[in-house]
Amino acid sequence: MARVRNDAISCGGYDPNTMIHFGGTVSLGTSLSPLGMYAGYLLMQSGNFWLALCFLVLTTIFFLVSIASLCRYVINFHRNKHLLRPEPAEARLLLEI
Amino acid sequence: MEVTFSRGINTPKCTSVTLGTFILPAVHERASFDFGSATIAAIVPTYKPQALTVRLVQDLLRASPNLFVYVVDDCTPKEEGSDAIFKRIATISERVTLLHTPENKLKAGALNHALARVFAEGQKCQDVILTLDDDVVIAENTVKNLVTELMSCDELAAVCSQCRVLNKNTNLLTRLQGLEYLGFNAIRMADEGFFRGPLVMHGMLTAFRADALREIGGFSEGHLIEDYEVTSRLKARGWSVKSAVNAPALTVVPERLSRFWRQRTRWSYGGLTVVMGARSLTSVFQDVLGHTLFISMLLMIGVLFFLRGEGDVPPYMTDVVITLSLLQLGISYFFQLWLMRHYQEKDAWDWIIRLLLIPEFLYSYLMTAALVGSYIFHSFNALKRRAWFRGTPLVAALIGAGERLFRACGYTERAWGTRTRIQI
Repeated sequence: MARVRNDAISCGGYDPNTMIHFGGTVSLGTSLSPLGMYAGYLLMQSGNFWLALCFLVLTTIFFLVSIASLCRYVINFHRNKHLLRPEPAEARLLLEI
Repeated sequence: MEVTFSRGINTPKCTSVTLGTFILPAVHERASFDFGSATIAAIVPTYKPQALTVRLVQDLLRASPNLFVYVVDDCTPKEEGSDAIFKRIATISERVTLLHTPENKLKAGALNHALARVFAEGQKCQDVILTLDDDVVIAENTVKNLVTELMSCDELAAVCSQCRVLNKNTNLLTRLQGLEYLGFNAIRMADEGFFRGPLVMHGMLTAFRADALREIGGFSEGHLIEDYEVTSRLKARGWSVKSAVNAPALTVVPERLSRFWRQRTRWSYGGLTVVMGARSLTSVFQDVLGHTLFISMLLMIGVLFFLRGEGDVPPYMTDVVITLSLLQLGISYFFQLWLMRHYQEKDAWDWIIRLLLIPEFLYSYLMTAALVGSYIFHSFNALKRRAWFRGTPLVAALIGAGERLFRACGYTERAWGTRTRIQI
């Protein structure tokens, strides 16, 4: 990537892990979520009720944050829809590349 | 270090930050704006420029007759090729100014070097400051759309471009980054009107309101990611930011895993330092939430491994956990597939990668590893700064060994951006 940047182009800053979550720049809910859920599931089989409850709350928050972000995306998408069609200049640029 | 500029007189119109924006993002009031009336200064810090930099300067000049380009050479070594490129840049137009930093100052320092010049040239009184990387390719209307979006709303201090990958088709790693950048743009759109807008107005190409940048004293030097830092300070002052969905820009991404890893450790650790140093938590809210949940998850897993209970967990609790996780994964997967309709550069390979899911999972595990490493590196740095901890020779030796280990793993407190050569 570009050179003069102690930052880097930081498209998005640094690491918005985009597989699942929308929101911050942490890998929230992405790679760790399935792993965490699996580990949580296994351990809850013989686990502690209160820890299981905490895990349930955490999973619910993960889910709600993702859904809320998706709602915001859909709303903003409709607000910006008229701008999303690629302009001829953009199409030319892509062809050139 | 912050450069002191004369303070602007414009007071930002504070955008309210409410929990309601979690679902319903705030709307920015808009007014018409005549792009032709805007005066623009485009700052391109560069180190070892390539042919792409020349093309960028030419494209910028074509965007508006009121646009002046400041190319800042941040002490490029006298090597073959660079001198010729600088000479070529300097002779493109009278609207191009070539500046040289007295010493290597990294990107924020180079930007401030040019800003001091721009703000000193009071007679030109620029409305908009564009900051760019030197390996960016822009479309014909990118600058126009960016500036119009910025200046048509009084609340906005900065508007960033959409990011795309120029060398997307090189290998699997660049394709994965191309797909990731598609997600970056989606995140920015989701964050529009949410806690004063997206977290980062990226350094690749962002238009800043000159008064806002003057008001906060320019860029803060000594940060690994100055664009996140400057965005957080603007938001803390009450300004909002957003991305322009109709302003595409393409950049070159790392093609080798080693460079890619160095870039991501820099982003990851740099972002962490910005969050830790933020004066207003609402300006970095998405990350506060993200880090809190992520660390909670890590701790929870750790605790679950070490503690055993009575086995009295009702089955419905595990069912709910599994159902929510699967639901989240499913919704996300279908959203990612839907998002492909906006990926204009896509080809069959991109579809295969996305459909398979596994390459992106592995990619995201790599990012998670970089993040966990950043937490450890941050703890190490916090510990080594403690006076009581540094006393004995043994401790000093351990600190030295630790620093070497982290450096070998790509973690550093001062670094340059990665560099990928590309032919045009």
